[in-house]
Amino acid sequence: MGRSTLEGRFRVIDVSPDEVAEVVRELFEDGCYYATGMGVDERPLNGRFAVYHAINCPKRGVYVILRLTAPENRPSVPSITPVLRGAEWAEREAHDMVGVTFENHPNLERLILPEDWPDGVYPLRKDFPYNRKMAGTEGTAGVRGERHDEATMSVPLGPYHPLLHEPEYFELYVREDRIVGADYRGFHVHRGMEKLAESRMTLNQIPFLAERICGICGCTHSAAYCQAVEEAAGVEVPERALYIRSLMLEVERIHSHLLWFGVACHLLGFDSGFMHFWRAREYVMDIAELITGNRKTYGINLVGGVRRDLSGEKIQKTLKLLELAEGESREVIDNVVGMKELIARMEGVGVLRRKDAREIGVVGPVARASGIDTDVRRDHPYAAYGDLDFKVPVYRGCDVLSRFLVRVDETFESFSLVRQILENLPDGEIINEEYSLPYMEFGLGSTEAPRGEDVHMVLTGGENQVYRWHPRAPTYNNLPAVPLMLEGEDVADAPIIIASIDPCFSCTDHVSIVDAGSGRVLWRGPLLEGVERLRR
Amino acid sequence: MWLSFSLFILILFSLLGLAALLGLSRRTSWLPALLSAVASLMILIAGVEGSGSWRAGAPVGTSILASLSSISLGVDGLSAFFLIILGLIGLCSSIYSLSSFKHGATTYRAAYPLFILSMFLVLIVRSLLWFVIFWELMTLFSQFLIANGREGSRGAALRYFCTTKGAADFMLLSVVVIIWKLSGSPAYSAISSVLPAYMSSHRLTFVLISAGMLTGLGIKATLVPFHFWVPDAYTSAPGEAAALMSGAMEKLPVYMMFRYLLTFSPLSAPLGLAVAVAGTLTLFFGTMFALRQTDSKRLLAYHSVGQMGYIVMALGAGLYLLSRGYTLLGSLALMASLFHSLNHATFKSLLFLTASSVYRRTGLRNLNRLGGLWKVMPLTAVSALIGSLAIAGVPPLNGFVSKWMIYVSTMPSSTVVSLFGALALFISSVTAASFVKYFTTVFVRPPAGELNVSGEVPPWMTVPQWILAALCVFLGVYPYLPLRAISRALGVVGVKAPALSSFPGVVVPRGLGNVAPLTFFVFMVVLTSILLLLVRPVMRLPGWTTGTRVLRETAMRLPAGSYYASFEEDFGEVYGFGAAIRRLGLWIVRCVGGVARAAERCSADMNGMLIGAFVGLLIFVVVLGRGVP
Amino acid sequence: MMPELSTLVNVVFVVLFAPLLDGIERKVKARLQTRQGPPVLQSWYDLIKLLKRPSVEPSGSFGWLFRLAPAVALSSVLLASTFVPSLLARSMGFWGDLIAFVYLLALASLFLALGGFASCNPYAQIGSHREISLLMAEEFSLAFIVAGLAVSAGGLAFSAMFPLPLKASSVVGVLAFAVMVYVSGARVPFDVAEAEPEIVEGPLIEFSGRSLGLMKLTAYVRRLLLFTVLLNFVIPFGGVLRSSVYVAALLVLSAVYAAFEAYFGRFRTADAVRFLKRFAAAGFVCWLLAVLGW
Repeated sequence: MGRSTLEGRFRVIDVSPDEVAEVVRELFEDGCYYATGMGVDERPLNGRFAVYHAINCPKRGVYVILRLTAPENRPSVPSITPVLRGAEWAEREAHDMVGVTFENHPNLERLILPEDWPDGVYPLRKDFPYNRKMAGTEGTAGVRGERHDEATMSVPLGPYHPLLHEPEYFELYVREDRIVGADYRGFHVHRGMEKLAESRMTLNQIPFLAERICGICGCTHSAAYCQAVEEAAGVEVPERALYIRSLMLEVERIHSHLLWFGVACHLLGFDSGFMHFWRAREYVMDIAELITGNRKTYGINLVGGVRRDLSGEKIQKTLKLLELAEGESREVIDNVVGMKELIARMEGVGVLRRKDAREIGVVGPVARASGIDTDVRRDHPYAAYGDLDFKVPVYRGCDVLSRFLVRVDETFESFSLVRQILENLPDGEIINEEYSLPYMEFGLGSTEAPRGEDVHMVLTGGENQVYRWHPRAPTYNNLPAVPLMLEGEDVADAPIIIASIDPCFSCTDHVSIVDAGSGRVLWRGPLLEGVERLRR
Repeated sequence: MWLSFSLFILILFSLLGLAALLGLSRRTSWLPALLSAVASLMILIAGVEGSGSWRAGAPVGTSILASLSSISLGVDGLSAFFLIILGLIGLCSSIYSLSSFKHGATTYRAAYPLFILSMFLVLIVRSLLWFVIFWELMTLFSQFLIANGREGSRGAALRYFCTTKGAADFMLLSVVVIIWKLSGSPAYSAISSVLPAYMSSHRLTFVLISAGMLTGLGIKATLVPFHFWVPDAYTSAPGEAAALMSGAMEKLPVYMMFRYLLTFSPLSAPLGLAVAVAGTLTLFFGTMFALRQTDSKRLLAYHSVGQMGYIVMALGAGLYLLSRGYTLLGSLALMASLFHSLNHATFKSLLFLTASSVYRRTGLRNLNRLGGLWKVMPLTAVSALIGSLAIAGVPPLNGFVSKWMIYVSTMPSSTVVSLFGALALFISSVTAASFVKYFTTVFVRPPAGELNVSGEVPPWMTVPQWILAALCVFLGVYPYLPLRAISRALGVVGVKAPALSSFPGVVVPRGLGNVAPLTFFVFMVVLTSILLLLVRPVMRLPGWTTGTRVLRETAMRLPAGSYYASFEEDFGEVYGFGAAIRRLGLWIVRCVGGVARAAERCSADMNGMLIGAFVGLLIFVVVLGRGVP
Repeated sequence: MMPELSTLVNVVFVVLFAPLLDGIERKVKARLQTRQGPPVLQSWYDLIKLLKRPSVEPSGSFGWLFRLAPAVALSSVLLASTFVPSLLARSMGFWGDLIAFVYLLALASLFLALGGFASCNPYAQIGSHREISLLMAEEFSLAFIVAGLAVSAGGLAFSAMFPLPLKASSVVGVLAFAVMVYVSGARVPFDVAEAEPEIVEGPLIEFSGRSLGLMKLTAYVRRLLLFTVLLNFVIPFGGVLRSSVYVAALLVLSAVYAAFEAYFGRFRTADAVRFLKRFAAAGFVCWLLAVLGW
């Protein structure tokens, strides 16, 4: 009847500080990459701080969780960034939020907390009350590194730049129309979602908070969270529920990619493409509305299953809409691919070499465009993906065009997946609410969001709460690669390069979109209100 | 005439000689400048007055040396026109020198008046041999202005001297051949009565003599590929000297080209075409290279090359068109050439003076580092804006009117010359781009770091800038006066200038073109003022840099090196080709320059150079002075 | 009719009609993008709103030049509209010729760029230098076309050029000029100087209220004048017929150009310059034909 698809997804290994670097190096050489890491205040339990490094080994279909601990009086562990630079941000985040120091970290500056935040106050420690108000002066938004001479120009990009649609700041160093370097500073609007969830919310409220991490791919976050808890608590999820989860995840992917195509066209100055892609996307929004009642932020996942079932009539309607959406998307994409000058704007631009991509640990279409064959749906099957048939497109161009083409192929794979799911939908219950929550059990849920691997780590807290929840959105892993992509490019290509990793853009007008991991607000989107209104 | 010509020359000689002597002492540094200014004013008046002649000594025998025993000076329409240029530029740069001379070296202060004097003499002698002698003197004195003790200036002066001296030797050779073999007399009148007929029947002689003459003149006129001495020379020379050299000295080869090509030699289409091609290459490569410069004076120097290209191209096109029977177009092109000479003198001197003012206040020529000086030096800034717009050819300023004449005279002819006109039109926009860069990098966008500027330059420096700026406007808006002087000048060389003045416009008959600069001016001034009243802003708020708190305002500025980078990249072939041409020029000079190399060797220091020049001249005169067989 | 009166009619027509033409283009583009689009008068509404609002100056700017820029830019295009025959065939033709026209339009671009630099905004500086880069590349192509047409017509005065004689060179020249009209109108893909997603309207970024209104009006008038010269090259007759044909052709041209605009992505500056450099070949062909007498 029910089954857990999550068995054997991860293995937690306690490592000693002396050997962690060696283990990480071996894992990396074996084809693994750094997925995410979190610091945990485990003092109430054992008087120690812990750091969990999650390392994704796609070839073996397993996440290796390396757990390091440090005593309360000397919260310090060796940094693994010198071995694997993908760990840089996660370690800086743990340093900011929990106060664990990483020895030999090359750049243990603040990442998330603002510059005016007092030293020695760590918001994710358990002794920091969630409702404490911090006195603060005006922070300095900016990049600290000074990298210009008289022949170089600093071009600010953000925090409120029409390209970004979200507060983050790039500083481009430009010389003779070429970008010679770029600095990045983000996390301007941190919402403290993790603290909120750990202190105030119950187990089944969190999926709705998780869904609001992102306004475009929210469903993937709630699914990842539910999977993490299901894994920790050993919940058996009904098969029909798993299929419906997959269905919504794929619908979300189609809408997200179509949205991105539109934005990419707009950034390349081709506004007609923008409009036509978004017109095709409307059918997908209609499908979502038909199935979940919401055009976006579906609110469908709960721990143990889903909240809404599908009738046969809805399936027929969905199939019809799907056909329309696929036909129109195909037409528009064919037109765009036929525009030589548009393709030329993407070809050979924003190159991310495979070696850099591996070291940084980029995920999703960005990784697949740099020749890295990875997809959580295939490597770590979850929901219904184990039963479904799909291809994982991989391109070796390493440029914006490859990222574009990966998304094109994925979109049509998703159309096929939705059809497969609807045709093979098993009967049965849609939720299993008979489970009990253990205390301090670790769980990891990961999904392939439209932007790449989305990882949620959970430590259960008993009493219908979580002790620690750490979501990590794909953009978190992809952003550090952007300065590399920008180097040596024309200034005019900066927008499409930054957009090529598809940082969270959204279409919702009520919700703050928050990039997970940090929980920073990315965008409040009044821009597209007009689009919505126009449709009615 | 308000003074008898001989008296006038005597006064000028004594004024400038006195100035040179005073320049040798340190105490009263402004006095030589003042005397130079007075002398320049007299030259200007003489130019406006127009004619006169003076003769001293009598020829004894028929040898070349003998012809040196007498000197005949005089002013006709053509030289009067160039005297106006010399007077204007001399006056302005001398006024400018009033407060800048105290920084200069002694040799510099002594050479400055002598340089003006030698240029004056070049213009008023009526004998080809004396012309060459004064020409050499002019070169000699001007190199003292370049070698002023700054770093690298000696090398620049050396290169300048050797190149132009070597070229002048070619000219001397031609001149000697002309006098010795053909005319028997160095007087202009004698040559022009004999030479054209002779040369039209002896093509080889014609080609060789023309080649010699035009090489000598062309190198001084900074024609590509012999322009390489220009940037270093003008960068080393102080502003007022660069203004004088670029504004006045560069026009003297044009003067002799007019005389040589129109009165000494027969009208010839191939020769005209060759000159026009040289001019087109010069305007094209000179300006394209100017676009890339990030040093204020180098930028101006390269533009000097480019604008000389316009002048020479129009001259060549005029000759070509005249010889092909396009009388109206041809004479119009010659007018345009002369008019552009005058205009170039005004705006380029103005720009050199502004660059010099900026240099004196900041110690910088690096456009990457300069910036924002409008706030500290508003007077200099506005005059630089007018100069920049004038050289960019913005209607209705003077640069526009003469460029317009060049286009109208070249483009409609169905010959290859119309292609030159098209290139000139393109290059005009490159000039505009380049001066947007010059003006904005120096005066507008923020500097790279704090500039320690004490304020506007003293009035004696701003006044000449403003005189020239006013002239840039006046000559464009009211071109009838200069056009009258130009008609008079062309009359001397036997070209009947077409009547263009049809108040308030300038109309070229037969639908060739028409423009009304005066109306443009009135219309623009009135409408702009009305609109300015309309848009009076209500408040000042911080600029918008997409929400960034601007921590380092000075970093968010376009460096001069980045201007038009994509454009330059796409026109990369031009730069490759231009560099090749430049190498070719250097190679030619190196190969042919036995003379130059000898001069270079013996002139390792300034004294050696001086002695070498005189000895060379002496040997030439003595050896060739044996008499005509 | 007296030329003064006729000129006045022309100038008023140009000012009134230019924003309307932009409104039509916006509508055409919207329909091609399956949008409803704003009303045809929207550009006028925008303009009126802008002209009612006061201007704000950035505090780091060079106020004097910053204020001067829109005024000079608009004056120069309006000056051009006095001597280019538009609605009525008679105008102050003796005030200027094709060269003056080209220079006045370049003057408008020049002051747009100077205004951008005067605002001291980094985006404005980038946009301004792009604007000038493009101007140079445009002139490179245009110069050959102008020379070709001048040879073909035997002069640069409008009396000689309007209409052009029927020759092969004129046909090639007019077609090439039509492309330059597209380019000079700063339409996609040649709008690199004002690219919104990268440099936020470039030189215009700091202009607001009335000064922005003047800049916008300058851009509209500029497009209309370019169309007008193109039409003048070909419309062979005068009188009422000319005026009606002229207005009808304006509408058709603007719809066609807008339609083209809907199907392009933006160039990089270097791409645009390269295109124009290659396009100079067309101008050269026109010139060659003209010199050969065809």
